Amino acid sequence: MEEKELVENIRNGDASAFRNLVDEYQVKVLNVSYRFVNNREDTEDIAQEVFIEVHRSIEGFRGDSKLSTWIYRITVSKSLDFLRMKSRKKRFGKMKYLNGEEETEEQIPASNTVNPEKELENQDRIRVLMNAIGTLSENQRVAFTLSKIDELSYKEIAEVLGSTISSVESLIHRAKVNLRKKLYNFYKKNI
Amino acid sequence: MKMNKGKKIQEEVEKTLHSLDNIEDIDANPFLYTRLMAEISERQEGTLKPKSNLVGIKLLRPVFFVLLFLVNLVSIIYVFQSGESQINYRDDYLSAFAEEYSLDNPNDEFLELSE
Repeated sequence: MEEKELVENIRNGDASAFRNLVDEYQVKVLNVSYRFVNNREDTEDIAQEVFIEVHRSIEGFRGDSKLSTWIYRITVSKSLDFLRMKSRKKRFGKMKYLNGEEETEEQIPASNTVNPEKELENQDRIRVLMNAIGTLSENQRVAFTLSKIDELSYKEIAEVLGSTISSVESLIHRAKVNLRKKLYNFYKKNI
Repeated sequence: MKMNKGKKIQEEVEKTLHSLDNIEDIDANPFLYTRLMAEISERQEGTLKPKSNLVGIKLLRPVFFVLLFLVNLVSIIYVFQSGESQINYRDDYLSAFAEEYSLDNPNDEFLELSE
């Protein structure tokens, strides 16, 4: 089914067309969101919100960009909203903790591979890297994540960010430089 | 020693940057569509309910503003009236005071003496 036809059918209330869209984009949405929030459960909640938004606003989709770009844009926006909400909650949780109302719990990731030591080291590296990515500016984070992890082209990233290809190139370059600096400082303290 | 540490740090940075390739991919969730449709219909029902409330709120809004206007009007009238009665009370008090100390009689001896 062509993209235009798919969109038209969803607009006309065709449930199977919407199901096709969910089946086609589910993995992409889940993986983009996962790169930002790094938690499976949260990712599924975000994916659900993304498809609800798609269902709600498909009437307004004018087809200026590709359907996939539009869905990526919604996914990135929902993921960033989630992270903002989470950091607000974290701040509030810290305040509560300082007031002695609630204690925060550290989650230790479980290892489930044949080589647990290697896996743990790997997970640790990913955690350090994700933390470093999380401290980048929002645009640098989005551009870097979509480019390096989801392998989107600069043109697609520019469309998602509503920006130009040259500014995406610059964002990714600065993101790399900043990441190297942040990681260098991290290991300087921790080695 | 310092050289070695710097080199080690650089190695760790490179390894960590390369760990990007090891980030696992997430598979599709077979229940996502069912969950999604349940959520959509729940929200659609949810949005219908508040709509009726919204209609009520829209109808009540002019009534609320009329009531608010009337309350303000009554308050303004009350404030002005009490202001007037306070002026009357002050005049009464002044004339009572003048009477008490015979200040209202221009032919008073005291006044003549002081002149």
